[in-house]
Amino acid sequence: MRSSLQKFPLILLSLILFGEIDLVLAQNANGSGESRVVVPGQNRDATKTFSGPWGTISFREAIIEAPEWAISDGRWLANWQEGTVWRFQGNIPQFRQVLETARFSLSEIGVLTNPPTLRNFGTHLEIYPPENILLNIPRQSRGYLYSKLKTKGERDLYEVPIQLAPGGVSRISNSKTSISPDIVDLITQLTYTRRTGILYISDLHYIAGKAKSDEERLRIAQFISREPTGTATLSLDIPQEERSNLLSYWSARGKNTTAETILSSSLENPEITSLDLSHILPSLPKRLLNTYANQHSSIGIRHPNCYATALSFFEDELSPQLVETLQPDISNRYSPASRPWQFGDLVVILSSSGQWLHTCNYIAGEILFTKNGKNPERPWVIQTMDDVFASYLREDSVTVAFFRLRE
Amino acid sequence: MIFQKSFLTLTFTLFSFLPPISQSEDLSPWGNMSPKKIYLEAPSASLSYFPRPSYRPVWKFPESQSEEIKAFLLTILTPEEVKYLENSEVGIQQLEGEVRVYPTVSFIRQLSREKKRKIYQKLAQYRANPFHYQPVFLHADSVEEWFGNNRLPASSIALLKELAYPIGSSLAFSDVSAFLSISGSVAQEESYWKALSRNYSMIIELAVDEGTDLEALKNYWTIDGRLESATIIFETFTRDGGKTTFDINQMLPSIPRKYYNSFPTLRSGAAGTFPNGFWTSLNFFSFLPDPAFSDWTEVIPYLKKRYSPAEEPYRYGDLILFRSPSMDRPVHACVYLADDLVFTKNGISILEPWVIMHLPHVIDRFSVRELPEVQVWRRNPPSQQ
Repeated sequence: MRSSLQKFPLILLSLILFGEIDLVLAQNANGSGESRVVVPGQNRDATKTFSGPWGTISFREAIIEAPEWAISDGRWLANWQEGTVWRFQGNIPQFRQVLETARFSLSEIGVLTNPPTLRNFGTHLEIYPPENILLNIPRQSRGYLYSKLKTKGERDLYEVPIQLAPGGVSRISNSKTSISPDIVDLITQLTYTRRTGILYISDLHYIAGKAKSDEERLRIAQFISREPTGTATLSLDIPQEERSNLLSYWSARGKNTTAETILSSSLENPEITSLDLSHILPSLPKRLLNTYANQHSSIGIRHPNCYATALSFFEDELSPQLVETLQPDISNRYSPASRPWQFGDLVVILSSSGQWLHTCNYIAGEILFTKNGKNPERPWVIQTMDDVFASYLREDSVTVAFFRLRE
Repeated sequence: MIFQKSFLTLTFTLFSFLPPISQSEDLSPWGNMSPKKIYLEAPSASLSYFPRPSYRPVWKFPESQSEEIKAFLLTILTPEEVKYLENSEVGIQQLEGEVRVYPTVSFIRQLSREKKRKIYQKLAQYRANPFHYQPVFLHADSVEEWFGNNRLPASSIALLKELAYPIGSSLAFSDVSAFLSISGSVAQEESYWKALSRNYSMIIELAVDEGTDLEALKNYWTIDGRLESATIIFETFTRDGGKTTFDINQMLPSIPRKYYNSFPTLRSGAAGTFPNGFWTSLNFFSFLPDPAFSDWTEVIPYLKKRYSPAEEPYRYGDLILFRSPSMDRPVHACVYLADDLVFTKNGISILEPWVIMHLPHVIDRFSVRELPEVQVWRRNPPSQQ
């Protein structure tokens, strides 16, 4: 079944980071299928135009930031005063081995493996890294070291780091922020990557300690929640003979009545030369675009995720049954889709073992409608394929499959 | 009763307190908007649920006697015209509990506007005359403007021009039978039927530039930050200053955003009631709509609990309530947006979409039988909710 799907491996053979610029070397997997190089750390063009059966759509990037009430992953906001603590499930020789592999200097290893910096609890080690060491860890070393930090207890920011938007700080700080430039620099400095190039931040206890006030700490939480979205406008300046194709594409074989109504009427008025995508989307994504989940759209502490979003695209409301589904069964409603992709197609990102990592919906050109994660600080947005794929490049190679809702 | 008194004068002063459309955009609290008109026609599937009337026009006078109706007609028509009606193919028909008059299309066409207005005012009292009770409205200065250049053939436009009559600043049209009778084919008749379902709405872009007072504009469109999603979107699109535009659609709360420029479906009424103006206005700020708000008896108790009478300047989110003086009850509600624009769903029909309209046109819609009293209510601050 899977072999019949239209899919393209996202290949990443090697990744070397130089500051905010990533260098990716990629090649076609097995010489078959369609491949795409995805560069998680790369900044994107702010404006793009795509033409095709959908007409011509222009995408202008904007950076969206979670409001205070949506910041749920703010454990560090509550306990930042505890400072930086690395927890290692192992003994001192094992920790020393990790530090050596991460290319720490002998003097640094000496400091980090001895009291008072290190406390041995028998079950695990706790390390309180001095500031000069914490700040000067090379990115690759930080990524390697932090991937080894974990305990059996509560999962902390080293085990579950905060993922930054593709492009990292240089991209999200393109849009004004009220946090100080020093803090922005600090976040940049402490950003690291793991093997596939996704950008993470873990040292928020340290960063919070450098903030001037609780207000600034909250702004930091909002700043790192930033992610790209945009406005997309469809050109209506098209010849008469192409109008039926335009209507046909956006009405999705009758599933999107909103588009049919609004496009036919807008095309009548020559003053309307373009139309915001938010008018054309079906009622549910139209309602959700650029918003955050709230208590009304959630079920208790279960918040709408990508599955509930993507599989409800043409529905009137989010399906509550899908809110906590780990891997929904779509076999009864969807069929594998081939090019040309169509409005509303289900886009599924799969791990090498076939596990679903993410789902979203195809809009047009390179634009997707997506909710990246179930946390309430992740909004419903439109993003380019590169951005969405880069956010889920959690292995050297993942695959993307397209499905279409049956008639 | 107390609130009735306090609102009594609003009927007459509404237009004086609404800022004039020509007010300098720079001074407007809603900013620099550029509304563009669109015309929405009901989906064919929805129209198919409504049987088209016969080609033969008929005037129905329930609970009447033929002599009484003849006397009424003689107050408006000449004796010759009444005689003509009596001597037509069917004549003036006395049925049990109802009188029916069958004017020909040519008879209706030759009637003056004034005569027609007077007769139709009477017919509008009875639901038995559906297109007199609730006429087709053409909110334009001319029939040509409403239907554009190519929507209808010239002969149809000419007939509409003859038969339309003014209500307030709009044109109304009740002679649907006559109109459909001149269609040349079934396909054309369906097309005419669809054309009559026309409503207008607005697509509105908000433009900001270096000179815009962003804080004031944000306060207006987010109701001082109370509209959380609007706040996020406003900040997202204006954070970096400079010249930009964004669609007002994205600033609307969840429910109006979802329904704006769309028609209800049969599914909308699956819970037992279809959305109307009350439903739309009282659910304006909700995420999950309360179906009970379609019932007009829910309106005043809810307003008294959550809203307070508003004073000018009116602002985004204010609820505009239309009351019938004769029935002493609400007949419609819509939500004020900016300038003279409101978000409204005019009635419960699935042929009525959710739209943004000029308030005077909405008032026209509800002025067929009498001029409504207009009241303005504002949602209480969170501390008083």
